Amino acid sequence: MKHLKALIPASLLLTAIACGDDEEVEEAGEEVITTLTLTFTPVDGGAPVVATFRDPDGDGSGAATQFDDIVLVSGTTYGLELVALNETVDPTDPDYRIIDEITEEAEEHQFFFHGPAVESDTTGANPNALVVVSYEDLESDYVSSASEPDLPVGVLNTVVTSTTGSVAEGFRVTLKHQPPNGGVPVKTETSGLNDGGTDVDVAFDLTVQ
Amino acid sequence: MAALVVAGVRPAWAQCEAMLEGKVIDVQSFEPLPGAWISAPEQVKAGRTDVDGHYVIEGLCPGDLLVEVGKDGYQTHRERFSVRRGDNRHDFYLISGDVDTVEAEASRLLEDERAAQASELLTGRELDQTRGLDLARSLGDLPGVRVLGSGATAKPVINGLNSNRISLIYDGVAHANQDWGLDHAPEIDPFAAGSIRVVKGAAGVRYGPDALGGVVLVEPRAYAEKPALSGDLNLVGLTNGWGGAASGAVLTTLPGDWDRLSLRLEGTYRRQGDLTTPDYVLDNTAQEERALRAGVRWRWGGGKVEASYSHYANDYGIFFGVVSDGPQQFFDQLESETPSGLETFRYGWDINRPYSTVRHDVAQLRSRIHLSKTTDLLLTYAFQANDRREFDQGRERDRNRAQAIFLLDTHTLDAVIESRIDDVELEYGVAGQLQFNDFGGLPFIADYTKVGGAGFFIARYLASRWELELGARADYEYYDTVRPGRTNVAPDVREELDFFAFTTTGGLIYDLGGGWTLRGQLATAARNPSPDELFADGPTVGTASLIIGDTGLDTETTMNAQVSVGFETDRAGASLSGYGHYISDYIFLAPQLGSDGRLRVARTIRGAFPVFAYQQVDAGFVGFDGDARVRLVPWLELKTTISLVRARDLENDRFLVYVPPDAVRTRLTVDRPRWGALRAPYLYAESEAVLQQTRFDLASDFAEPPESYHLVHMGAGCRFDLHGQALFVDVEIRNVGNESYRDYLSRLRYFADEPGISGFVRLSLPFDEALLHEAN
Repeated sequence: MKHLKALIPASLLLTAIACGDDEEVEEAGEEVITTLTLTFTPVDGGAPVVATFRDPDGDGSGAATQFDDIVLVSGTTYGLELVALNETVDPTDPDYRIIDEITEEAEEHQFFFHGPAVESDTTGANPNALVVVSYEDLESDYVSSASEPDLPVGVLNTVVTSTTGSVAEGFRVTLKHQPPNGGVPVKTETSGLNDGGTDVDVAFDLTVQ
Repeated sequence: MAALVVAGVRPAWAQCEAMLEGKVIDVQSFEPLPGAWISAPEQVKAGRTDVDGHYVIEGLCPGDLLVEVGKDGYQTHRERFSVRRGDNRHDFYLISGDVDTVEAEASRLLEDERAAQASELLTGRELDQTRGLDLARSLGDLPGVRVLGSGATAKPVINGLNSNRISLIYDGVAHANQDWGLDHAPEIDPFAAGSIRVVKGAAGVRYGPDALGGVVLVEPRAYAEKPALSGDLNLVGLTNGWGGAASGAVLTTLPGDWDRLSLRLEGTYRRQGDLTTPDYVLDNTAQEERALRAGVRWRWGGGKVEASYSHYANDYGIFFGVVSDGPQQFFDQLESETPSGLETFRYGWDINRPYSTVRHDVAQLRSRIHLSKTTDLLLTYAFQANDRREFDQGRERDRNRAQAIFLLDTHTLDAVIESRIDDVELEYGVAGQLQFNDFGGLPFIADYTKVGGAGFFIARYLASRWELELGARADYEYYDTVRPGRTNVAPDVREELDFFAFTTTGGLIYDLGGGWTLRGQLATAARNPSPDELFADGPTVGTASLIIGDTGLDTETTMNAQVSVGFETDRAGASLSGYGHYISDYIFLAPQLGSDGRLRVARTIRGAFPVFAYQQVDAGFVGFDGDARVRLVPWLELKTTISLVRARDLENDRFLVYVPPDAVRTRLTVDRPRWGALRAPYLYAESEAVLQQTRFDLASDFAEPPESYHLVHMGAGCRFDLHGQALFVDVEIRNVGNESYRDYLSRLRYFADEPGISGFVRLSLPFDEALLHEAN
């Protein structure tokens, strides 16, 4: 009987522990990126070239409503700026300019440029390349407290054209979201396309004339 | 009426030296009854009570035991319960009168439910030895039951069918959860079970259309009929993940003037860190689980009513290596042998994003009212709230917020009549359901309100050597759905749908004599399409594909046949069961092919996703389950189980995906009633071989099925008596060889190996104390 008396409190204590406390949780805003805009501005002046990918239903099965080709002039140097938008919400909504959230978390994001017609840090030497892409920004441009190492982000870049030609799906842009895994950093000097989650992966048809 | 040998319900095999003793008491006066007879017909044992109302029966085989107790002037009482090795105490209460109560029959039926179908019972010591694992894993050792998925997402597969085609019933109420896709496991605490019965084959007439493949009946610990205080304390430790669980249960039927009232309180806490494979850590697979249950029962001459409340909570991490964005990356890492991000994996106990949380609350009222000596009315009302949230690796602003919130609230009301007229038993009733689904976050399926109603009847004819069962059921479901517009200009889409399903069953169980039993069943069943099959539109976590539903899907209808033959004696037993399903309009996910015959790909901002759409084909399943056991010498037992399933898409002449591969398990157990100071010690070694699934269609899947694997498991245990308190200790080591392997039914196989060697230690302290009213 004495053992019985010891076991009952133990069993009841467990029921008390079993009542965990669950905080109220809010639903996150719509995190969808619906639109990616690439703006190529010639450094020597001239009209910018804009190419947009727009898929209004985000992850849904509906097709993209706009998917431009990139058409550049050979022998030119362009500044390339990327903008990412969430067009499921109003332009006045804080979630509209996703690109701002990306740069606010520059230490966890990086755009990569690759594809059959591109030569960049990511691809290494590419004899078939029509353009050469190099990073023109660092994390510290966006985040004042960026810690070492100070890595590129890819919102601002330089694109140099040379050979003429036309390659379907030649210019591929991939945005990787690389938050630390339980405290261990994922975005490092050696991290790349295979690290973290993919937020954007679009391959534009590229023509250089 | 002669008791029938129930094949497929196996006693735990050991030497037949268990002893059962106790008192037979008049339930109203609490007087002990001399001259009452007690019989255990299946084991051909009997006894009588002495002048003090006390009886002893020796030489029993441990396991499931059917006992009948009676006396002139009293109703014969029939009860089925579990007998352990060694000494057992069980008192019986008799009610004066001369007719078997309908309730006694019903409880026989509940335990013996659907006797014409093959079923497996997990109770007593066998159930205790599986505790600490999740519910599906506890069942995985039973013949014909496999496990789909792993860890927090493990679900049972019965007779080749799973998920929407298996119904899970806890405490008489069908578990209403969100079974979308391969992701979610049932939210039931494995420690909540007093017994688990798996019914194989279409059980749709009694349990509803979702029970196409079978039903898992989980019954809580039973309230005592007599004043008593009982319960148990279970402690489990696991080495893989370095986790543990503690569970306690206290049940009481109050003594004296309050003996009509019984109470129950149970709680479980489980916590574990990351699992490890032989070569690396599965980072972020930690879990925390909490459960609390309380119940109260009130009895009176005319019946009883039970109220209960259950709360279940589970937070579980989603393995970092499960690549959830971008098909390119998914396919790249599919090629490699190790998961993506391996170099960042560290062992720990934290649950980081991405993780999921689930809460399941149930409040219910069940009553049994004796309308007459031959007829009972069962009324059940239940409310279930299922709350599931997904927390992905979002951006800073969303650090405390969930990316997806799924809320499913369900009300059910059932009214069933059970009656017994001579040799015919009847069960008939109606059921109603009202369900609300509310989805927040990136739209995946629709919000809906569902109203359902059903009516059924089952008739059983009980002859001396055979039983015949016939039944039919009709179900109607109506959905009012809203799919929110996905862009800021797209309107919400409203749609109303309704479905009708008609189900029938016919079965026979025949006692061939000499320990042989034959069962056969023919059934038709129908299943209405589920919400994800109707409305899905979006990517799924971890499989880098876009899933598209179809609101034009029809009800699935099945014709099912099962035959099983069982043999049971003291020294050996075997059960062979064959089944076939022909399912027309079988719903499954198939890759969509474009006009060029290649996999259709949808181009979204995150890349090119293969598109999978729910389709309907005519499908056939054929399978065989066999198990055999033989006690070679009194201290050595050999047991083997084999499961085979073959399935085919008959319309397109292709194989179906996720059909369990062939498996053979063999176990050798050494046990004795005593060995030195140890009581009821045992030691076993088990070989588990799972063959590579060679019947697959690569176009319907992302990767070839993994190779065959062979695992060795070992276990040992015994019982200690500490000053009258029993302590059961069990030690188990699974995957003793620390083999690396992947399982075809587990979604983890696209990313990483299954966990390696795992050790379990279980301590179980049951207690049971009579609180009899003291007669002066």
